Amino acid sequence: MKVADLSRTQLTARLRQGMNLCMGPVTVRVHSSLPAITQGIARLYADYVLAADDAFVDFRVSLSRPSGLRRWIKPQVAFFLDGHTPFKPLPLSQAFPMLEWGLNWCLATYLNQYVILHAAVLERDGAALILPGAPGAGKSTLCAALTGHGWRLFSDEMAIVDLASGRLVPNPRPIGLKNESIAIMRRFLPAAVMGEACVDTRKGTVAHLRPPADSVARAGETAPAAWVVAPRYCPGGRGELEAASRGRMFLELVNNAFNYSVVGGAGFRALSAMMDGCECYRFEYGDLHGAMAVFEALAAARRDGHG
Amino acid sequence: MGLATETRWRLVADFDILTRQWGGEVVLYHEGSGNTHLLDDVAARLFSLLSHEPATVGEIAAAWGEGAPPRAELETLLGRLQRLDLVEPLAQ
Repeated sequence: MKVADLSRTQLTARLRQGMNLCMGPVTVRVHSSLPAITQGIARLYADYVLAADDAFVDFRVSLSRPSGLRRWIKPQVAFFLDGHTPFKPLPLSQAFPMLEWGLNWCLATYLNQYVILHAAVLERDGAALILPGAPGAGKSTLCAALTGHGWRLFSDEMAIVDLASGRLVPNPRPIGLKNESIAIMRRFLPAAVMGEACVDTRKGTVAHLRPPADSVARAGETAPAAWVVAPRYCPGGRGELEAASRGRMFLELVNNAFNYSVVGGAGFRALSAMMDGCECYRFEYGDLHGAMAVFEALAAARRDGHG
Repeated sequence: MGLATETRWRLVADFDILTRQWGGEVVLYHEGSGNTHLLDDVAARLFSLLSHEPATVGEIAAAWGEGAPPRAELETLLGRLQRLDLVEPLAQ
């Protein structure tokens, strides 16, 4: 059964009691009575499969309004993991983004059977593309655009690398867009489903894009990495791939990893094995249509045996 | 301060250092410090020579052969690698 199979009344009731969702390598129990959470899950998690109520759950998260004055005056929302709150509350209007940020934090903090990099990941023809980059580099915008052009979404935020195999593990979730990227994506992917925009967050205005149904359905299919492309959005950017050394790109990846210091040598081994098979590039782009053509050519070259 | 040429140098012995090479670059992981380093081709060659057996600067230069960096550069590089806990001088 998927979320979309539930009526709004059923979904509301399930979330009030706690509802188990399959999210790639983890099962998450989400508990909330907040209308914004119900609305966000109905809209952006429609294709997700519900796990059984007695399934093993990796993370039990809940979002609720705190007690006291903040319940009514400038109302806030609090995020709980297993009954403990790791963050300060946020304005109630940011409830759905808080769910997404909280889930990202859970994965990055506790999923130490993997090494987790700060990067977007997509797949084409059985090969994974890693897009590392600091916030503001444009990787989420590029990632969102690629999902509309034949690339399967693994994640817009974290590359989950299996320690034993070095393969990338999907965790397709709503793609987070910020500020100007929201309007850009509305124009670039007019058929894509987007959630409500939340203003005045610490990241500015944010909205989330529903992941493609195919990406969610195939969340169990891992892939080896074939490309690491560090993007940077720059108006007037040349839109050409510039070859980068594996060594320098490796160092950038580990310096932006969430849990490399925890997994240690196992992470080094997994990532270096992963990099053995990768072409590495930097990509400065200013035009999304041109960028799509560049990545299409990259995939075609590999398909045709030239990559 | 110059380093005595009689000093024999070796890779640190107390911890494993994991390595991976791509072209002329080498990435290293130091299991003691948890730090990861990127060595360029010159530093990588020096590291590789010391991985076989301890050596003085003179012996390193001889083993390097044609194109060996000047002695002063080797000494400076050894100092940098020592500060990164990758190499150490052997006790006299």
